[in-house]
Amino acid sequence: MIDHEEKIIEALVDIPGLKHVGDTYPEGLADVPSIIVELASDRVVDWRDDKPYLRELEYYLRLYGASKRTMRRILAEMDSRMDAIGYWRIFRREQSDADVKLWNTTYRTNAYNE
Amino acid sequence: MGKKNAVTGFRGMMIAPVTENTLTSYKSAAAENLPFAGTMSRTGKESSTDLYYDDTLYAQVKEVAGEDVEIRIAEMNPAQMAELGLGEYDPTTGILEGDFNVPNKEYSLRFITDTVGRLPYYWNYRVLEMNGIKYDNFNTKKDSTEVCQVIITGVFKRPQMASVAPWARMQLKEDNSNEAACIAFLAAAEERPAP
Repeated sequence: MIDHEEKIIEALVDIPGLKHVGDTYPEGLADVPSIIVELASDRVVDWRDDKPYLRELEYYLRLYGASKRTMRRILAEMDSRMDAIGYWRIFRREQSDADVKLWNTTYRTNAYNE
Repeated sequence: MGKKNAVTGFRGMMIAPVTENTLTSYKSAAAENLPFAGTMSRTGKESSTDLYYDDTLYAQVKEVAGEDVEIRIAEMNPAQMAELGLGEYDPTTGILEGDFNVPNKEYSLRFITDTVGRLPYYWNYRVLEMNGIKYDNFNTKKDSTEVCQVIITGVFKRPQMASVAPWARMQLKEDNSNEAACIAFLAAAEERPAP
């Protein structure tokens, strides 16, 4: 199984101003800005010798924050650090409510089947 | 009811240089792996003649001299490309100096297909005259991932020795008793007449 969650957390953990990155959701404004890492999909995109040869992985990175200005800065840093580990952002959507702002982003990469 | 033998899949390609192909002998060396098989498509080199007698079609005489073949694989290492005649590879620098042409050498091509009944077929096409190796079209990355395949082209021909068939197929027995023989069929050197 290919699992890049730890690799992603390690790449993002020391973004300046970020309070938390991991798989647990923030409980309140005191815990933001934070990034939640979740596997969106892991699928085979090419077969060779009757076996999976190449996979495509997508991760949801949910960026919670209180200020869009801060979130823009953090998103730019996310893009740069994810690019450095082979991921590119393919989707972004705002899903904010009255209490907290949420930007849902999807990052994608290819990996050899392991 | 017996096992079902509809062919599914395509894997385990191996390629062996033909070292002798004359009217009196056929020899191939031991085979090497040609991994990451994708597809193999073949087109018969056919000619046919219709014969009419008594105002009606008497017979259709068809002759298949060989098959044009195109094999697509995911990747090929540069050393193997050089070995197949596409150019020269320097492992120190990692540079493959490639040509557009390959020198039309002959190979024996072997591979495995599974069957619905899970008793695989092992295939041996005894003379593949290889006339091309190239990469498919290059495309920038986009939404759906596509591998740029390596395309090998050639023609399956009859061996010159009349008693040697152009292709052969062996099937694994249900009790696996001939498994070693199947693997040898795939990988070992072949010599006709048998020594």
